[in-house]
Amino acid sequence: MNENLFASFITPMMFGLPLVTLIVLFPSLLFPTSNRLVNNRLISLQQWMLQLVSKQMMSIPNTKGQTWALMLMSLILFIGSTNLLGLLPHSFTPTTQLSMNLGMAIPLWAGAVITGFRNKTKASLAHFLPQGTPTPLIPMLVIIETISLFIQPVALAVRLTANITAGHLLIHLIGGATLALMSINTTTALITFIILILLTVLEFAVAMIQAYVFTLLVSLYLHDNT
Amino acid sequence: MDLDHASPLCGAGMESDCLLVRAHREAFALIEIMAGPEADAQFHFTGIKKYFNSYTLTGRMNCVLATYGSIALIVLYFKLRSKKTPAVKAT
Repeated sequence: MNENLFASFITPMMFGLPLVTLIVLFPSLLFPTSNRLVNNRLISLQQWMLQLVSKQMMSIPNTKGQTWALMLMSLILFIGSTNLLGLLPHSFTPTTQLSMNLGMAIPLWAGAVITGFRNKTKASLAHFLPQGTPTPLIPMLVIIETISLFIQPVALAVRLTANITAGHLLIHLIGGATLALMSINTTTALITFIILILLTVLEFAVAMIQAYVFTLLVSLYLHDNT
Repeated sequence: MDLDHASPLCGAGMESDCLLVRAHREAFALIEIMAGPEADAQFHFTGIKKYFNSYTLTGRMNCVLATYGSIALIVLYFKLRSKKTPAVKAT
């Protein structure tokens, strides 16, 4: 039972070769490009959603920050589609791997911070000390702000990993409990099954919200530094 | 932006619009205080406070750099001190 609980988080292999590259590249197949003036329904729907999201998200950064629009839209599409595909039974979710999420979070955060230090060095350094801080508290607050800056990419990655992993684990546990209860007490099994349905609906929402939160936070870090 | 005359209905008995104008004025004042380089001119510090304070952009930057410099000096001091102290040999 213990081994089965975490089996879905092990990177799948086939003939000793890791399949993770194929799994990571797979969501791109779901977003076809078209060379037609009037697209089909799938592409039109995807473009409409992308426009909605980009209008909402790109209103925050300024002109310089909006050069990151393609990057941020790709990010939200990738994380959202990966999370949603992971809700399929017996599938592997790359965003449950902390290494993957750190690999996304650290370069994006570092890019935003380095952009800030390059373009607005004074403002970026002054950012470490909130305005109006009493003099005796200055050294402590500078250290706290520095720590909070370096915590940002870790928090980004761990937030996504923990949310998706926890959701998958819960679904697995409650699904197992439903199966086990079927032979014991059908009424309890039915209640557990309803909880499982509700949890699955919640996980759909969490999958999309986590993608949005990740991208929104990256755009906010960018806004602070441009 | 001249917020006093922003609404033509101000002073014409339309209190809600005057309240709106006042709210906008306070919001802009807050943004002005919180804004960076343009707000530095409103503070007039003298002496060392001119370069080290927590209000102007330059002051905050210098405080941050001074803090980092102090930490670096403390770390350097302890490193050099441990190198100077000879290791105790077991007898």
